[in-house]
Amino acid sequence: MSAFERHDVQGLVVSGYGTMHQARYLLMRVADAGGARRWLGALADRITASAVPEERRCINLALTHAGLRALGLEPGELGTFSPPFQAGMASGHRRRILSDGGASAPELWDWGGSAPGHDAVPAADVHAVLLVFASDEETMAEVEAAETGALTAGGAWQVVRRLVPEPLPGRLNVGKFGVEHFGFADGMSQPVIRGSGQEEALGGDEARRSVIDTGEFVLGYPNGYGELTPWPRLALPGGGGGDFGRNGSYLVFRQLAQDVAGFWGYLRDAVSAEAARAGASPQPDDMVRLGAKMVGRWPSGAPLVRSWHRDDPDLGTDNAFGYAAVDPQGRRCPLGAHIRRSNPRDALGDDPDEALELANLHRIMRRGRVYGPGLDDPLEDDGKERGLFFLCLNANIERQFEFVQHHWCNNEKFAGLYDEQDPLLGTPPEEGGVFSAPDTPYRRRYLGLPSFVTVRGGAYFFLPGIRALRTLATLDR
Amino acid sequence: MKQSAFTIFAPVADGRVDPLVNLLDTIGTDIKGNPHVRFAELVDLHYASFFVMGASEGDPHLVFEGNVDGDVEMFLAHLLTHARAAVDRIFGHCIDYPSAGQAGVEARLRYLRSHDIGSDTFYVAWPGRTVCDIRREQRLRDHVQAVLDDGDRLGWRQRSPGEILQEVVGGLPADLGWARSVAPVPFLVARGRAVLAALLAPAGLGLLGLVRAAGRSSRPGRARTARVTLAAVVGGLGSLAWKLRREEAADDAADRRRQPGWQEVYARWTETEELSGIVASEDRKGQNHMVSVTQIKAGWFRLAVLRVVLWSVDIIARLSANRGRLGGIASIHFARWVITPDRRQLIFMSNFDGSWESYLNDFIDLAAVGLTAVWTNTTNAVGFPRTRWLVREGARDEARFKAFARYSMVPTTVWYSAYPEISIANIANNRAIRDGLAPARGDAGAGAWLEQL
Amino acid sequence: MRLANNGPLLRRLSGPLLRFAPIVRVGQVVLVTRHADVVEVLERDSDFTVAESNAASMDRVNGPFVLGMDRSPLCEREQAILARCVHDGDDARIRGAVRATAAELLEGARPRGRLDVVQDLARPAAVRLVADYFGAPGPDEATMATWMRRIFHETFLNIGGDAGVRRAGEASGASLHAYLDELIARRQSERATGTIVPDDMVTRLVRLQDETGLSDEGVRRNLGGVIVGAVDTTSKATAHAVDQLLAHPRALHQARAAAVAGDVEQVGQWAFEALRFNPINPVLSRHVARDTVLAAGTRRRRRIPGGCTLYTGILPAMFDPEVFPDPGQLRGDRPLASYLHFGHGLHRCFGRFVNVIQIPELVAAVLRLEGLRRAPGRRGAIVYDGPFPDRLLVDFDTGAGAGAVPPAAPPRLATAP
Repeated sequence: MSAFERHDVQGLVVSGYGTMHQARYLLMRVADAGGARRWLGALADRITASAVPEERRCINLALTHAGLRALGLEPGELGTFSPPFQAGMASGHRRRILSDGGASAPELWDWGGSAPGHDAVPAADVHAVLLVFASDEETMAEVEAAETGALTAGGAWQVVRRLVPEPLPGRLNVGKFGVEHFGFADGMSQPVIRGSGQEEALGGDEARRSVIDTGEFVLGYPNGYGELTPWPRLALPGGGGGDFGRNGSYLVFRQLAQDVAGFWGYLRDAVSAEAARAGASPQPDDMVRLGAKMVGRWPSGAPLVRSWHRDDPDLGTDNAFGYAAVDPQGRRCPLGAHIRRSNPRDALGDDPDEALELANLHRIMRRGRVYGPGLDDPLEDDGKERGLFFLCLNANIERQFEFVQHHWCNNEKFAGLYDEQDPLLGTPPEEGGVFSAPDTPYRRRYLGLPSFVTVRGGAYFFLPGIRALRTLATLDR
Repeated sequence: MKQSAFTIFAPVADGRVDPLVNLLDTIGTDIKGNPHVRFAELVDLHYASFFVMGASEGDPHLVFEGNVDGDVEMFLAHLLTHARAAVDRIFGHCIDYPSAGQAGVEARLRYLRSHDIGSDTFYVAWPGRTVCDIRREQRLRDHVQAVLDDGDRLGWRQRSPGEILQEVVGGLPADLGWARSVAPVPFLVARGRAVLAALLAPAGLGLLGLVRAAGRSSRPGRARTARVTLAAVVGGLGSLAWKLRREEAADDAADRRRQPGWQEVYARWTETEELSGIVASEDRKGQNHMVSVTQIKAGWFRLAVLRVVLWSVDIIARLSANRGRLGGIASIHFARWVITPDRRQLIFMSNFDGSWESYLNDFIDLAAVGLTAVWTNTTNAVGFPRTRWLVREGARDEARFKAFARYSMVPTTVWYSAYPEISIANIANNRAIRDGLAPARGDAGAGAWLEQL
Repeated sequence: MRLANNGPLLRRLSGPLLRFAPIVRVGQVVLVTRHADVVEVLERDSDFTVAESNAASMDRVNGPFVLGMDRSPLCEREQAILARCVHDGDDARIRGAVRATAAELLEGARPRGRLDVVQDLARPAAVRLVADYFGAPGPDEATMATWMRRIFHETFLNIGGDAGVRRAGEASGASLHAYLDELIARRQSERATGTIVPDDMVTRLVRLQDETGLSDEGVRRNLGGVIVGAVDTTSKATAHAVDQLLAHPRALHQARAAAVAGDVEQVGQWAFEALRFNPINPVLSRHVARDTVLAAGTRRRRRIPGGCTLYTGILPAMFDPEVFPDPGQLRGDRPLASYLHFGHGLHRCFGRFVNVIQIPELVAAVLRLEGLRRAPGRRGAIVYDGPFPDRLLVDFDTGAGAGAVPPAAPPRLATAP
């Protein structure tokens, strides 16, 4: 297969733009198809490709199924996109796969959902997202104004939602990585795309565990099975359009609100109740310890597998670990801990090497950013919404993002468990969720977990290659 | 107690498909509370489903299939006592069903029995485990978990594993008294592999003897016979292999020529209502049901190969793969392949943990060889991926295999699971919890037992 | 395990390999024998990595330690911190401590006329150095020795993953863990209150916390990692050196003369040379992280595929005539820098600065024994527990004034092969 076409692949695939402190996600609707296509043609010149070094501004664009239809794609063409993309995140089966029920039900979403009649933006109106990044506030103001002006000029597009993440490096500055609102370092474990050049920097064990085939993230390259994932095709006059999907990727976007006070309040109540049962008083670090058990890492990011009895900030960026050799039973990092569910590494199955290989068929490239102000006292809610704009890229939504969400995170039967969900992200049943942590002489079990994360919006997007954007711009329909 | 399967395959009368499907829908959408069949009363029933296949081809059949403890006949008799009216209403849409009022239970039973096409391959995750075992061992586990939660309050955290185990055993309530005895293991689960070896040994030895006899010059007459036999065996296998490769090459060539290509066919299909009809019933619980119907490729050869493969998988499933895993896949409760009476279609019916996507990934990652050997002999509008030597490539072509499997599916209109909350791994672990109660153990053993909780 | 300690057999296998197949690959396994190639492998630490094989065993009982880390900012930082825990002037202190310990231990054995080099001398001496220099005596000497043995057994010897050994190792690891935590906390509070604290490794690590931001857990991991490897390696080196000297009478004669004359440096030359004939690690394994080329620019040039396990032949490399002319000769004049006993490159043994002093001192103490000889018959051979010596019995004369008289000249014998 040919080498990675870094001039055609949008930059978001290879970079989270860590030097771009500011970001805006503009959700847009096609108002005039002709104008919208013309704008795409002009935009294509400004899109940041994977080959371009980030300096002061980066721009990427992704489209939904509704958006592509509005731009003139026809049924036979739309059917070549992945089925979940066609159906949409809020559709009946998808929402079951994603466990988007209760407070996370698409009827209640602020955008991308399915209920007409309140001031939310329905899925039918979310056609595209313009992802704008800038190194500082001033540049952002300038870029955003220019871009908004360009896209709304002549009534081509409408901006239906403007989503503003917190400036990087997030709420707290701990070196390279951000900290999400619950207070835990985030973003340490990312796959590295084979052929992107980034794998050269990885040493030893981390290379073995983290380097993933190009085709798992970019269409048109061999995937983890050594095959080409089918990509979208257009039927252009003259027989062109067959490689429309090449160098594209699917972008999953979810707005996840986090109940920070709820999370820490639960931890406080759980450790006090536990201490009361044992007739003792809770120790000051018990809350953090239980929180770390649920996450699988300490607040610094240090993995519990490698530092199991207290935090060790020196291990905060550690990612070259597995579970099978050291912690098969979950005594250090519980089987149901968030990071163990969302990437079980070598833990599932009898043969660690095979397990790692199979787990690596379900990796996603996370590109999210935190939104909303930090909560000063984590036990005192201030009524403001905060959370994570969860963005991730993958070539096969069903086998990657949805699989992680459904078969690992929300699976009650994950790793032989019975009735637990991801303690952070899961959608527990009404009577509350369960989380158990192996201990001596027997496990500790925490009941009545509420849902700490609520989905506020979301959609499946397609992040086309730059040539494909130009093709769209020239459609004459 | 043994587990059995039935596949009642009944032709639907003209014009009756829609009312039949509507009736089934009323049952399927309210499996617990519907007025027709109280599945939960059928205590020997693990799984059951109703679906209609072949309607669009003008040859509609109602399939009623299930997995039960004990004999199928016993179960059907049981069903007729509990839900005769429902059976009458459902099968009343089928050709030749003894009409209600006129015939007795016997006639109905005869009808059902005579339309049961059983299975060609039958896999049971845990042979011998009855619905009752599975449910009551889950109750035991829930009980012990609650007791341990209480233990925190009773200072058990300061006690040794051995003492805790003793407390648990001592405190078992009367209705869990059965748990003090170890669950029996069926003969074929304990010794199946030895039986398999014993069955294979004569064939191996025979072949070896033949080779030796052929090479011996002391008895020229016998050696000649042996050589001829050996040549016949090798030649026979060789020509079968040659025939197989020719068929595969021809299939592959035809596939390259076809217009439109499979991706286009599948893409168009994903835009239709059919896909949404199939997924509509999926992932409502932790378990799912899959029905796949594919067309057996034309000619005697493919049918013969398919029969041999199904028979081999059946033997393996009965004798060797009978401990929770089929070819490495640990998420199948019951699965079955059956060839329709007209020998033109292959039906696959399976009850499994997790989503269809994860199930198919298991197929591809862990059991591609066996599944390729079966399904490569069949086809549909998408077509089975290119295969070499019966088992190579095939299902490893992830995208096409998934498309083939998705396209082959028939919506399950009614589906019942006796224990939708209990996974294969849970069944095994619950049993281990029970078995760990019986013998007296040291602290190390009790510690290991506690880790299962 | 037997094979790994069978010096003569390994030496016999080395010759043809060095000559005809310096880089051999069979399937997923590569063996490298030339000195230059071994050095190249050990220096190219991002292509030939250790975490694959070492990290898990370290993690199980101790937590991450430099020994199991590949080159990374963390590894470099922790190595730098460890290096700063070694001060000028430690040499003399270690030498004095080892010498005094050895004298005391030999005094105990003297009346019997028989010494177990492993159990009577090398292991207890190493445990005491851990107590004194590293500052972790344990609750008592016997408990500490048991912990170290069990942890060591699980970390380095439990290749088959025996459950009993693992449980014991993990339990001892947890006990050591708790002990070190308490020790560190006490040392910190003593520092804070101005109590005078001993100048040992614990104090030095704790002091470095202010400046480097090393966490308490970081102090514990590093301390644990250092002391876990400190005992059985020392005792193995001492036993093997003595064993090889006993097998080479001419060298033994000269080494004893040096010992008696008080020239411990020269004894060290003999000890490390003797150890070359049966090193503590005859091979070191590395994981091949990516497709690469070894010995580029030479006729041995070889492409090595990623994913292989590569063994560097430490023993064969020390018989490479390019670097060790006349390799079959046990000589007391080879440059110490050529030896690979402490490994090479990123993962060179942290304990080397202790053991370049400790091992010669312990060997010299044995050599000074009057009439030193192997215990007769089969008892005189090393008994192993796994790859580590459990017993090496030597006899000596107990007469008055023993040790002062220069040893008699040995009979002239053909040089050992």
